[in-house]
Amino acid sequence: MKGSFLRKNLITGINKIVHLASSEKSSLPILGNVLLQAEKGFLRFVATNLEVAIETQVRGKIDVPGSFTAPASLFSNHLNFLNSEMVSLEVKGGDLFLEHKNGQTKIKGLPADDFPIIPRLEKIGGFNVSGEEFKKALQQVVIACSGSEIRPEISGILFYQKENKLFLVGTDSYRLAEKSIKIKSEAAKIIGEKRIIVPVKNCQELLRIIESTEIEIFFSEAQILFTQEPTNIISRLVQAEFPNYQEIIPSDFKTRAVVDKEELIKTIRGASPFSKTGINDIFIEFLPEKSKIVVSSLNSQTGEARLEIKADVFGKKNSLSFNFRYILEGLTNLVGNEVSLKIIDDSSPAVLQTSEEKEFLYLLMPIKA
Amino acid sequence: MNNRTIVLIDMDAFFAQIEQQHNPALQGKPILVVGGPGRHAVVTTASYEAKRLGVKSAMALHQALQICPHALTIIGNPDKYIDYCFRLLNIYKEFTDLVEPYSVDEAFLDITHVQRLFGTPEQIGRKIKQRVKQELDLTCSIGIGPNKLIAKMAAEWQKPDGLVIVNPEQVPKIIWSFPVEEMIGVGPRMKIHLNGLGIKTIEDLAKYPGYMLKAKFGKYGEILHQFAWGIDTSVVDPKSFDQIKSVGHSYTMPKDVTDLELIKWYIYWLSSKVARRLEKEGLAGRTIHLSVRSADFNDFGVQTSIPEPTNYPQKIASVAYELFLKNYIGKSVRLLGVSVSNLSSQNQFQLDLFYDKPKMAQVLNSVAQVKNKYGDEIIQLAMILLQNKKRWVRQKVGCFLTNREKGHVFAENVELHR
Repeated sequence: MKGSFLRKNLITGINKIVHLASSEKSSLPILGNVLLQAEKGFLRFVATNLEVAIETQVRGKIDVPGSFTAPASLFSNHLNFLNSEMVSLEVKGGDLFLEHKNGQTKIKGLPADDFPIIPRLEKIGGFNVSGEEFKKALQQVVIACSGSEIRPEISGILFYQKENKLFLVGTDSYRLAEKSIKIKSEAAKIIGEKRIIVPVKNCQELLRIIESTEIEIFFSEAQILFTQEPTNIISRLVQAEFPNYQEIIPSDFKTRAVVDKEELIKTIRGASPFSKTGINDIFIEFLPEKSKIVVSSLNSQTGEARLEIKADVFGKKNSLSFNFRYILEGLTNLVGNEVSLKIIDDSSPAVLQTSEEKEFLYLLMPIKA
Repeated sequence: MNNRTIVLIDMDAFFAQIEQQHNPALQGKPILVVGGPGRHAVVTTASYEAKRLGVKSAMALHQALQICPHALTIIGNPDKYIDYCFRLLNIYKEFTDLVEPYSVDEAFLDITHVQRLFGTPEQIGRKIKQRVKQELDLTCSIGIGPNKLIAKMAAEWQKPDGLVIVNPEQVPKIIWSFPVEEMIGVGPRMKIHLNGLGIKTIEDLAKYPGYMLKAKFGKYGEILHQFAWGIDTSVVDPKSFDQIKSVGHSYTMPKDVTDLELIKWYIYWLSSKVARRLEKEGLAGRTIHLSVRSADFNDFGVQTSIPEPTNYPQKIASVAYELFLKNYIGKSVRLLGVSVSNLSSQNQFQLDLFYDKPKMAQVLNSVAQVKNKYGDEIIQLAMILLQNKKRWVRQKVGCFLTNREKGHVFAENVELHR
């Protein structure tokens, strides 16, 4: 393998994958390496942790095609400290040699044959979504997912399609976030009835590298591929059945409150230090006649708080307890100034939504006393 | 805080003394009290006659019998000892209400403010010993010092039937000549670490830079350094025992086990015992701890916290088993222990979107009522109950686990860490 490249191109390439390669100290040392593949006019960078793989490529002048693997973070750090515009790479006798204005570098690596084989997905039958929307949506739903492997069926984000929309759903079984975004391509029945689950860790990796340009999504039985030229991200899928969550979304509520989002966030934060440790409970009363909500908390060690805010409350007088973390995470992820909080009683799911963003739904369960 | 006077009362070979007192034929003879029969039985207490020959507590029975072949082995009776424990506490409480039970045979007393009533520390010490001897015919060793640490260490210096008084001005020099492992808080592993740093005596530890101990061992290093200077600010807390901090069960296998299925079975079995205990106490816990001792006495303990407190047997068991699988390196297992800590009362719980917890709670409540009436074995996890498994367990470990024979469950230790 031999070729010369703009240093800034090499940095762009390695930066996409270096996090994945260096994130976990794996028992397989080669997973800390980046696979470099030189082909006509391109240098490809590949990294994997066996759960997800990222590959990207940059332009360059290739003299001898070939491949090699080198420690990713070492390679990345070193490139950052050079100030040469051009860097040439060459593999000689099992080492990677860098030639640049500053001098030479020899990096010890491992042969490319030892690198795990990355599954190939055929790029047919995919669909397009806006990278910007997709990224935002994914951010909104990953917060509800704990990724605990004790329950594999909720260890990832559910992807499914309904009409011309892509639905993303995350849950830890105490709360659930659902967001839908428009599918751009014409092909409507792409995922079809299929419900696929992408491990939440891989989604977080995805969030780290996707940009706002359009993104193409393909999938097979066992993998999903996200393409944002020139980068491909391939993740394994969780082989489990996501719970049928639509069934538990209530349609009839007893009480609905419309309240200023920032005010509610402040009030809950104010009450939270007095919640019980480990339970994190805050008690919320809905008072339609007085047009207000009362948030209170009590902790035998720290004290108690009772805070009121103005709200339009419809329906009957009602009250329940929530884990303040769960409700705050929902509120801070909603887009819009006014939030509507709909409840039934102290043992049924409650719904948080804003009028500005009908595509996002946050469902949470109360704490039962 | 200043000028406190703390007493530690440590019963001499508590279990053995009680046994000897109950059976005159045992008096003056070396006896070994064990947890249960079986090849792996462990000596819980050796009488002074046996201790003099070199038997130590927590020694394996077969080892102890090698040292002391003519010793008599007695299977312990925990209920009897606990009864004695309460009777002792009642005696102590006549001197002060500041009594903190420290273990079944040890208690701390804060006598700072009762000296006008009962006399000098030495007089109080003698009075306590006299009362214990008169009323229960037992001897104890007493340590008196300016704090709990010194009192506890002093009680060790004159045994049996001792009384050691350490005056504040003797601290910390009086403890400095002892090897570092004699200090509270330094176990065999810590000893190795400290010896590695060239710290052999408590004086070495005191003179070692505190910040370096902190850097190496964290907060614990800081505490040890303070201890080495004879500083211990912890108070005698009569309520420390009222609050259960963790609930655990452990089990020593009659035979070493490598079979994963069987290990899983044991983990489920222990977990369901822990769950039952929690439920009886009205508690649920968030942190699940698994301890494993392999046949070569390599111990490891691992723990994890789950998002919300539980006392469901399946939940505890599945988490514990997962911990086991993640950390197990294939050695044969001698002891397994499951415990749950980070406890809270069970009256509030986060509801689940997909799982009807109140319903499950009702089911478990009914199960508990049935168990209360007919005994714990009447309803069990299917995993534990499967007859073929049971037969298979018997075959493999040679022990019986049926209700009828449950008295023969070997060396089962019930711990309630408070």
